[in-house]
Formats: sequence, structure tokens, C-alpha cells
Amino acid sequence: MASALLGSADRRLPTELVLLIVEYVADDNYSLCRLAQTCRAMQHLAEEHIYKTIQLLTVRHLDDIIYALAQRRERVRAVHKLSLQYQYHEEDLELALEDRSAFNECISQMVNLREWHIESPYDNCHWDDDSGPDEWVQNDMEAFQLQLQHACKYGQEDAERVQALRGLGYEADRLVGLASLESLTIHSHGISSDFWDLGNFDCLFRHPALRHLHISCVSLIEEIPSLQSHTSKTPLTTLVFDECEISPEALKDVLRVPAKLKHLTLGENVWNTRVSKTCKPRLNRDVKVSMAALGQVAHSLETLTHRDPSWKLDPESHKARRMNPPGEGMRNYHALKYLQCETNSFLHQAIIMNHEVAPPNLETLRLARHWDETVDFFERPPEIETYLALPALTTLELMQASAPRKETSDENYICDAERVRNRHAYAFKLHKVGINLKVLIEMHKERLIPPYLHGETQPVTACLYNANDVGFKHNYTEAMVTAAARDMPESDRFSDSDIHHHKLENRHALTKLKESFIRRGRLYNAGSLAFGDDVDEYDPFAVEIDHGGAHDVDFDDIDMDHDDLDDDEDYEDEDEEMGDVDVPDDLD
Amino acid sequence: MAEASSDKNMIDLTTSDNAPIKVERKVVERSILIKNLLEDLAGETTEAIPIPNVNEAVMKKVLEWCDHHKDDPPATQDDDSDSRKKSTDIDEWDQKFMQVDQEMLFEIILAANYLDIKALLDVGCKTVANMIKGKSPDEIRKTFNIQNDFTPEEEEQIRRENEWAEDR
Repeated sequence: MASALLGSADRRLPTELVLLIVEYVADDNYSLCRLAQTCRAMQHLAEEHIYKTIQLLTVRHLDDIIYALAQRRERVRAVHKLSLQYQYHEEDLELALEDRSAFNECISQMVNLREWHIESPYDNCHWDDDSGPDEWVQNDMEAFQLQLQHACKYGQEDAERVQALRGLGYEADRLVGLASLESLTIHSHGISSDFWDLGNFDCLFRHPALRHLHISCVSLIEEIPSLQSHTSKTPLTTLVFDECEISPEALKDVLRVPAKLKHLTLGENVWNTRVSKTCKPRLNRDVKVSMAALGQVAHSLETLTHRDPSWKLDPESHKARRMNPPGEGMRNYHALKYLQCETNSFLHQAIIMNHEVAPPNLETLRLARHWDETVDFFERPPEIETYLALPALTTLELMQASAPRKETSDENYICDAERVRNRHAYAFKLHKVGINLKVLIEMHKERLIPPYLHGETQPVTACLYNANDVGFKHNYTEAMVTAAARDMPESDRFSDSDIHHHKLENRHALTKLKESFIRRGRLYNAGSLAFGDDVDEYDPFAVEIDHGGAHDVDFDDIDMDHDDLDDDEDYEDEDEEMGDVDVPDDLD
Repeated sequence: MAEASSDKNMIDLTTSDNAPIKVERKVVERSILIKNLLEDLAGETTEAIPIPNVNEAVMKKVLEWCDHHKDDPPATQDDDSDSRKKSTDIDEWDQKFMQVDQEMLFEIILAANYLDIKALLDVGCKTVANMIKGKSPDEIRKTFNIQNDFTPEEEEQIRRENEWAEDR
């Protein structure tokens, strides 16, 4: 390669420094494209960055990209990150079926792809449109599956070949597409159905390089015999299921495969309650098998989240119930530091409620509660004795789901004097055994359900009460000197003025949270939510929505089809201008 | 006593054009190359350290930067920069510092690379990157003496092939 790409009159910079400089141009694709036109050597360097990340929100330019990739194979090798997020536009999608197939063919050549994100354009209830969604499943998803299978079959061999050659000092490139994949996200659906069957996608769990897998709306009900010979083999560390149907038997086969799984999210089908699927908590059904499934990753698991729908079948879901734990429970989960679940989850009933089988090093327990449950966490926290007995616990988090229009997001409700005093007294009891109480709100954009697709507002969590910040030295009137108060004994006393102060803080936090939601909501859903200009500043949902049944989701409004491409570009721009609206995942 | 300790904290350098430079140890230790060298020598030498790749003018400029940044916290290990595209923001003092002719700019970058002063190298590379941004291919070639090995047709072809990516 030419060694004098950039120079002044007398000085040339060596290629290693030119590479560094080009990296700093990489945030500006326009300039990279200009740079690529200057000379051949620079074209190579610049295109490594131009083709590194490909995000496709529309099928309209597919033919251009396919053409460009076909002209120089290095461009295909350069792709490290690919997002297929074609937005729904029925006509475009149908016309582009051939282009889609041709592009899928390119994907199979992407030997250096590290991160791949797939969203079906027919998600959000277009999956029962005419033939489009079936074509997506039978054409695109089928192609992805075959490619992944190929990577599973030959990826390991290819990696070993490359390593051996490099060890001998030869240059060697990967030859098997998708075999370097480290992170994969798939949000799709089945043929005329909102759930897809795993079928031959069992290869997802066998991929030789994959570390992070996030899939939604999969039906994992049957055993998966093809995984049974793959015990403890893959490097997978993070596995996330969203809105899936997971049976304990299927989970048992899935968790055989990773050698050291660290983070597991078991999102059962909680939110999507439409269609033929009735509420079926599956993991709670057979605790023995569920625990046996988890037991396979007991040695490595660090965080575990279970989203369980069984509260829907239990009008008194706030009353903690106990199950007999099977065997050792989680006594040998030494690495487990974080657990999140509903109080109805088998993890709470069988493990947390039986402290002698609880994970010995569990530091943080986060309990989640849906707004449709009869009693919310602000009104009444769960029975305290359970948590006092957990040996290593340092933080108990009560996370109440809510939405901007709901009573549970109103500071007058949350900070009602009696509720705050109870909360504070509850926190004091925990504090005395070394556990910090946090009360959180998880703010949702109503009627948006997981998985959260491109441009959809994710729920945001904020801390409304943190015992460590509030403290337990409110014994004295404000007139007293703080220095003196520092030495005074602690108590759970909380005066009217303390409550007032706390309420103001909460009002501030909630207002900020709601504001950010509304601004984002306006940006993202300007087309699909018909609120007028005169809408209350803090209330985006001025259009009255009647929730027929407690768990009905109004799907007409989840529909994103108004976001045609022009709009799409518009709000992308707006989003950039309003760079300050980024909401951290946790305002805590 | 006072004299001895101050001597210990002063380091002698000799540049490529044989100019002697005396500099505070803390300042010159921004260069990892020299820092490691001094540690290896462990104070056993009184001779000047030769810097064969850097001349006096450039060394003085580099040391000016080192002096200004001598109390900066050590660089954090953020080598996962791959995931996030690098920002070309440069702080005000550094921007002014880099307002030199292109010859000197390249000399500084080469010296920073040789002396292993990562933060200075970054500032230099960012400055060059900013000189690239917003320019036409022709302007870039002129600025950096790049030999065009494309025919006009080839150049146009590449422009068209990459056009889909321009506004991303």
C-alpha cells in the first residue's frame, strides 16, 4: 500500500498515522466519500469506514447498495454492523422483494459482520397483511436462517484455519459469512401470526462466536432435541427473550449450550395479549423443570430477570405467595448479584420467599409491578420479613410501572402523607439490617409494548425514593443545627415538612420524566397519535383512550404505517436538533 | 541541597540538530518513550538524552504542549473506541497551539508518534481530520499533495457508488 498518502511539501505521514486521521473523519460520511475519490489507496482506507456500518430504514436504496457492494468485494468485507429496519411501506416492500433477496445474498458474504439487528417491517400488527409478511418469513427470514446455519456448521473450522495460518505468519481472511457475529437481535413474527416458531432457528443457540442474543415473540414450547448434544459449548454471555412463549422444557435445552451465560432475561408473553394466545404463564407452571433449566447456568449467572404474566390470573397478586423450593433452590448460584421479577414469579415464590435457598451473594433484588395489578408499590410494599432474611442483600428496589396519564405517576398520589410515612418506616426497618430501599417508577409510553422497535420510546426508570439519600435523621425541627443532628440517633420519623420537601423533589423528577416522554413522543409518533396543538403540556394522551379490558392493547395506535419515509427523514432531523432529549436509561 | 534536588528534576536532551535542551522531568515525562527511558536509567546517567528524530524547533513546540498539559490526569484506557465514532472536538488552547503551518503540524504529529505522547498525537490527527472535512476531492489532494491515480470517469464512478452513504 502506498506509504505516503498525506503529506506537506517535505513531510509524508506513514500509513499508520493516516489510518488514525481517517478514523477521526469517520463521523462525517460526506467527507469520507470525498476522501475516497482522491486516490486508490485512500479509497481503500475511507471505504473501510463508509461500509463499516449499514443501517437500512427503507428498501428504496437497496439496489444502489447492492450495486456498490458488487463493484468491490472489500466493501462487503468491511461491514461490521448491519441494521435491517425497513420501515413499513407496503408497496415499496413488495416491489423490492427481489432486491431484498439480492441484499440477503450479500449478507451471507459478510465475513466480518459483528453486530446484526433485524426487525421485520411487518411487526406491529402488519403480520396478517396479504402476502407481504409471509414473504418476509419465507424469503428473508428463511435466508437468514440458512446463512446462520452455515455459519454454525463451518464457522468454527474457519476460525481455526485462520488462526493456524496467522500463527505461521501468513495473511488469512475469514471465508465463512456471519461466522464472526457477536451480537444478534431479531424481532420478527410467524406466517400470519405474531409469534414465530423456532424451527431450524435452533442454530441461534449454537453459533460459535455469538455473545449477545436478543430475540422476541418466539414460541419455545417444545423440547429442542437438536441442542441436546451441544452441552456447554458456545461463548454466549447475554441472552434476552422479550414477549416469548418459553416452556421450562425448551429452556432446559436452550441453557445447555452456553458455556458461561452471565445475563439472562426471561420475558414471557406479558404485554401482547391479542389474538389466540391467552395468558399462559409457563415457567411458573413447572418450577421443578424451570429450576433444573436454570441450574445449568448456576455457576456463571450474574443477573437474572423474569417477566412473568401470572399476576393476570391472580386478582390478589400483591399478596405474596410461597411455593416449596425444589431441592437446593439457588443456594449454589454464587455469582448471581442481581435478580428482577414480579412477586408472582416462581423465583420470588420459591426462592426469595425461602431465604435458606436464596442465592448466597444476591445484592440487588428488583421487584416489578404492572399498573394493572390491584395494589401498587406506592400504596403498599410487599411483606418486609421476606427481604430482611436475605443474607447478602444490600438493595431492595420496588419498581412500579406507570404511564404519564396514570394516577401512579402523580406526585400527590405517590407522596400522599400516609404512604410516604409507611414507605419511610418500611425503609427504616430494612436500613437497620443494612438494606437500602429504592422506590422506582418505570414510565411507559402507554400502548407501546416490547420489543421496542426503531424509533419507539422505551420505558424509562427513575428513582423516586432512595433511603440513602433521604436518611433517617429527621428527628429534629429545621431550626436545629445540622451538626448537632449528625450525632443524634436514627429513627423513622418523617415530619410534614419532610414530606412536603420530598413531594417537591418527586414532582420535579416526574415532570422532567414526563416532559422528555412527550417531546420524544411528539418526535416519533407525530404521525400516528392524533393529539392537537392545544394538548396539555404534560399530557400527550389528551385523546381519550378507553381501555376496554384491563389488558387490552389498542393496536390501531401502535401502528406505525403513517411514518412514511418522508416523515421518517423529517423526524430524524428533528431528533438531531433536539440532541438534549436523550433520556438515560436510569435517572437514578 | 536545594540545588541537588532541582538538578534531579531537570533533564537534558539533545535534539537531532545537536541543540541542548533542559526541561523539567515532569514535563518531559508526558512522553512515554522518555519516561520509560528515565525509569530504566533510574538516575544513573548524567548525560543528555539524544532525540535523533526531532529537531530543536519541533522539540520546543512539543515541550510547550507538554508543559501546558503536565498536570493532566493520565489517559484513561478507552480502547473500545471502535463502537463510538471519534469526536473531533479540540479544546481551545490546543486549537490555538495547532495554528501552525502544515509543515510544522506534520512534524508535531510525527514527533508525538515517535515520542509516544498519545494526547498530542490525537490533537494533531484531529486537526488534520478537520482540514479534510468539508473539502472537495480536488481540494484535499491539493492540501495534502495526493497524487490522483483515477481517471475522471473512475472518480465519478466511485462518487456514484458511494452516494447512498453520503448523508448517513
